[in-house]
Amino acid sequence: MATELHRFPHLIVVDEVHRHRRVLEVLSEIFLEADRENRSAAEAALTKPFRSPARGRRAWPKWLFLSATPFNPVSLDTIDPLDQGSADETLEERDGHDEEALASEIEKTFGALAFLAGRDLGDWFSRHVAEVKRRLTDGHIRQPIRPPRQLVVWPTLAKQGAFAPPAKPRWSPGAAVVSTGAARGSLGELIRLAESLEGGSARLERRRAATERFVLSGGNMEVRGYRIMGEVYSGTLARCVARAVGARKKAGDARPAKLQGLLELICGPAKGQNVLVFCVHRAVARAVVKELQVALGEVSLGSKVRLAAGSVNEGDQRWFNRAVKGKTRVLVATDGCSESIDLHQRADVLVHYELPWSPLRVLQRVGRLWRIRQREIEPGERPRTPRLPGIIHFAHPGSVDEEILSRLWRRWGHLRVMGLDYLTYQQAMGRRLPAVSWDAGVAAR
Amino acid sequence: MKSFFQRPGSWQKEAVDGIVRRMGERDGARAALLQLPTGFGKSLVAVRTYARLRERKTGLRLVVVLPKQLIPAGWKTALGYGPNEWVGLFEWLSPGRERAGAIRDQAGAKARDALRLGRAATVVGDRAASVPSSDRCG
Repeated sequence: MATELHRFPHLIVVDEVHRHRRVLEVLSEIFLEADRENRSAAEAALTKPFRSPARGRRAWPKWLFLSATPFNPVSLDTIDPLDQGSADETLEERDGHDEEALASEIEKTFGALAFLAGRDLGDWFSRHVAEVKRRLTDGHIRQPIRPPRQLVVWPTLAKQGAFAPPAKPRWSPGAAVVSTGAARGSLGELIRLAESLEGGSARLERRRAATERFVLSGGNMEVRGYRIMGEVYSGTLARCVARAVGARKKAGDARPAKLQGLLELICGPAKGQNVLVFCVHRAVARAVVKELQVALGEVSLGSKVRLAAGSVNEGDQRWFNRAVKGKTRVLVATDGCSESIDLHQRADVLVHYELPWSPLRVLQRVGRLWRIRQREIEPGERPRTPRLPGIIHFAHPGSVDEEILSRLWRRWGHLRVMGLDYLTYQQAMGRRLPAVSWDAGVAAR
Repeated sequence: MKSFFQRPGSWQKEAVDGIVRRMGERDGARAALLQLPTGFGKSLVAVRTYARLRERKTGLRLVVVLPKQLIPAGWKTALGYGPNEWVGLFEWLSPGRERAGAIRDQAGAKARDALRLGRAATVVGDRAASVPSSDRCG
């Protein structure tokens, strides 16, 4: 019975391939009536080329994988060598990170896809993995790797300049961030702190292209450390920042400022529009909805603000894809709604209220609104590049958001390596609120 | 659905041609990765590719594996449904009919039966998506 289905040719289309963990399990269930015990045998049979009984030729099944970002976001987090740093290690120790562990992580992720794809795509993945590994373990990312043209189809829109080439690396707005385990804060804040002390001074000097050394002194304090690829590493600094952040948390000024900013945006520039707000945590999404419902004076529940935590039902989707002139509609969603959902028909404003750690997640969020609209397609004509929505992200100075911004910026370089940077960091993140003032001062130094 | 296959002038044609050329020939590629930005018509390209390959390979069947149980509007359109149309359980796209069905729970016996009986397309919703869906995140 199991072989009966193999008498017919199949085209197997796997959508959003980067999200599947068990494609083979699902398919083996269909084709081979396999149970979990003999799963491996079933998978092997499914991916092995077979001979059609009718013609005796090796041909089918064929696989077509679809994805905007064909690498698992989790893998992008784990293959980041700089993430393995700790507060007290030196630059030399950092350079000697565990290459074997890194290689194992990469192969674990890409190996599954190579196995799925069989001979042809498997070869490409193997080469690609080797190249990504080489560049990442080189320490810095310099040149983009472009996927082979015969397998990866890029939009011809790229030729029309719709996708800007990646900008040269530069410091991100949130670059001055201390990343040392539990303690987080801004370097700018520490510089100000040092300078406020008696005889205080701050010095930053460039050592290599991506590395700066800093020395902060004042009173009886002296802090030395490095800023590498936009992140700051120093054990002493971490303890200082922990105290500074603790003091600010007591004042309790982080979350309300973001919420106030969101309210001002919705009641000001975005008034009368459909606004999509993305959060990471469900509790935050619920809290934002509650606050907005009160602030916007919602009379009947769900008339102005709705929540989509984990998934969005078709009713809410329809509600958000309609517009009533002069009325604001806000959908507060979590990242569970950042893929495979169309919310673009009437919405023009996207807000990253909480930031994700992976740039692929940012791209997926933007992709909810940055889509070709059916009503704009002329029959027989090539659709125009969709206009990017207005995008805002919130990052309160000194909060964890700044560390996330910093890492997002660096990981955008990894996207370049993987050939996925069809939107630049600036395009996908949009304008930052609240605007920071101390960054300019630090950069001028 | 009525005009879907009759709009070859759209910009996805290039992608369809490339994939069909590589996969349709004898001993052609067994797999292809189609990478397009979000919202640029991956599902349309996939269904058009299937239609073109079916011209060459009579009796070719399509299995679409989705990462979640809800069918995205893009796939509904590509398979011939309206974006807001309800997709019932266990309807199958047969040769000559331009409709597909979905397994909203899991792949299993009914999918097998449909494929064995010669239905042309099956849509499988995978329950295990990788987006975190805990109490805190998701």
